[in-house]
Amino acid sequence: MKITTKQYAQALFEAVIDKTESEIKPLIVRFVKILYEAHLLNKAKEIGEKFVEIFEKRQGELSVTLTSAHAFSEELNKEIISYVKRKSGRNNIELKENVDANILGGFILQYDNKIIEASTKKELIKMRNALKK
Amino acid sequence: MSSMKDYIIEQLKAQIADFKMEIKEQNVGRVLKVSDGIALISGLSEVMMSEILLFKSKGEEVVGVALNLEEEIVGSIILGDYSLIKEGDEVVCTKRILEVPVGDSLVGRVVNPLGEALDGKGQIKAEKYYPVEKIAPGVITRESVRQPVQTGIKAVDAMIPIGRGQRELIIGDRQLGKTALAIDAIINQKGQNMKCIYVAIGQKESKVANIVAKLEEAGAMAYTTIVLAGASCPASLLYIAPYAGCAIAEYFLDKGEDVLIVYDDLSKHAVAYREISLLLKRAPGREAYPGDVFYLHSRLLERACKLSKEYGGGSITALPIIETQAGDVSAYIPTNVISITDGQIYLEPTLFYQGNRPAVNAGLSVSRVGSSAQIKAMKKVAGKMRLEAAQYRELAAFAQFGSDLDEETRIKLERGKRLYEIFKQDQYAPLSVANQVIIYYALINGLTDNIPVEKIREFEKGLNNYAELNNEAVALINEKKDLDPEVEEKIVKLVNDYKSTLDYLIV
Repeated sequence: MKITTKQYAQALFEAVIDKTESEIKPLIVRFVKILYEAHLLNKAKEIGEKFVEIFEKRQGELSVTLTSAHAFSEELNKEIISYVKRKSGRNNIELKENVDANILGGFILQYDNKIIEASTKKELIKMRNALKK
Repeated sequence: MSSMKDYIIEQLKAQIADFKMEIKEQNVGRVLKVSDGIALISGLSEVMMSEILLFKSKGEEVVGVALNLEEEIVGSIILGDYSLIKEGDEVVCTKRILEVPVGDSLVGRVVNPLGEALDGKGQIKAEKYYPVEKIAPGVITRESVRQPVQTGIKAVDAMIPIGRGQRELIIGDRQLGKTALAIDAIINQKGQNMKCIYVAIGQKESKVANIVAKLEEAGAMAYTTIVLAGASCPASLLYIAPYAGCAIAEYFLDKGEDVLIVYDDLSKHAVAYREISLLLKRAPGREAYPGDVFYLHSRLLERACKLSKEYGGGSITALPIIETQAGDVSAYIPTNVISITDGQIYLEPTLFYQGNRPAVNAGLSVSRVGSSAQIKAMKKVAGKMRLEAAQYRELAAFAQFGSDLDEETRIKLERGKRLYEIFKQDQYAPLSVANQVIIYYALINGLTDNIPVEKIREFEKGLNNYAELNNEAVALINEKKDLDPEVEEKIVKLVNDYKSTLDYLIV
């Protein structure tokens, strides 16, 4: 059976977890060798992405993208983080803030493959559609 | 003027005040790959099977359906213009299983499998939405078939009777009149308390336009809906078309009405499904069809049913059509569908080219449940008539060898010839069951023996016109639905009266 990139990432994760830095180095070299022998070096980037995903999941980490028309205050951000914590059950939330004036107001929150869209722009579009009817 | 302005502003204010802001958490994914009407999507971790997906690309929204749920990837078919979708586009789950608008407003319309109007008569206002895929009614809710569907085709109504709730396959090569048979059956449902649905799968749109025109001319569009997935539609639409048609039928079923649904044709449906399956990388099997083509058709045809009184008493009668290649009924799809249905009407090229139209092969066609649905009068004449037909077939082959035949054989042969003349019927000219009983009664009792074979059709036409003028016999059959001495007497009198006006009788 073909080994998927996800399985490689999983294997790498299990190999390196709880190891010290000096132990990890030879492991990485061996892993790259295995990839080379399996002609899978071109998949290295994908495996890397999957590895980050698995790592974050295990560590209870989660990266969240917040898009808003103007930067939010610290307090508001904290509230959003606590909301995501409650929803996702992860503890270490990493918040990436984006400012995009195009959405006019409100915010768009993205994490995992969820999206919460509360932008003024979208609501206006919805209102326009409702009025058309 | 200003009051008008105020009124409009008031209305707008009220509407805006009514508008509720709603924030929902949505499940999103990204398009990994689009090709030939299918898309592979990453993400969408909570997607359901056959859930509607919205592809958002540059302000346009395209609808898709999730079909393959894998660990990392979701495979979906696209039900719209897939050239709008690009790699990396956002896809949103809608938490709705694929559904079609249903309701009385669909009657008399031509719609696509998504319930959008194709006939230019304006948008369809749906009362309800029904899921396209639905589990068929269970045993408890069902009842055995007992009411007839009068197709108006003499050969079918007598020998291969169809009951309400039955599934009767129409099978044959191209150009033998399979569609014509089904259309005649639809036309004959006028005043029979039936809703009809014609599902065109992969048909030429010109052909469908002809059918619509013909149905309109015959006044049949008053109770007919046409679901059209033409030859130019993507395979995804062809695939859902019969299920959508069935969902529309189920709305009437739930109202306790009787529905006749024609799937024209399921071979093209299987081909469309094969295309989708192969693109989704499902393993090919026999004739490159995927492993679940049997289920594809069985789950569709199981939805045809006759419900018991407690469940509304409605019915869905299905007439699936299969096109064979060079008469090969043992190909994969024909054998599958033959085994699913409750019988088949087999159309044969040799009969067709001999001029026996409809070219129904009486020997190979069967109806497994329909005979219990025939009216008694028809049952009585059809029993003898079937025997007559079988004897004729046997003798005709035998009689080719010798010319010296005894009297009895000669009579059988002569009568058989007349019977096969009676089986001939023009297109779009369905005949009521009472008229059918009269002509068959006349035949099996030897009343037509002294009419020349080549004059039989003329005689029949005349007899029907005559019966219309002196409608005692017809009215009596329609009322009693049985053949008692009184009715028989009336029929004999009618036929003899008419015969006395003729000048071409054999003396």
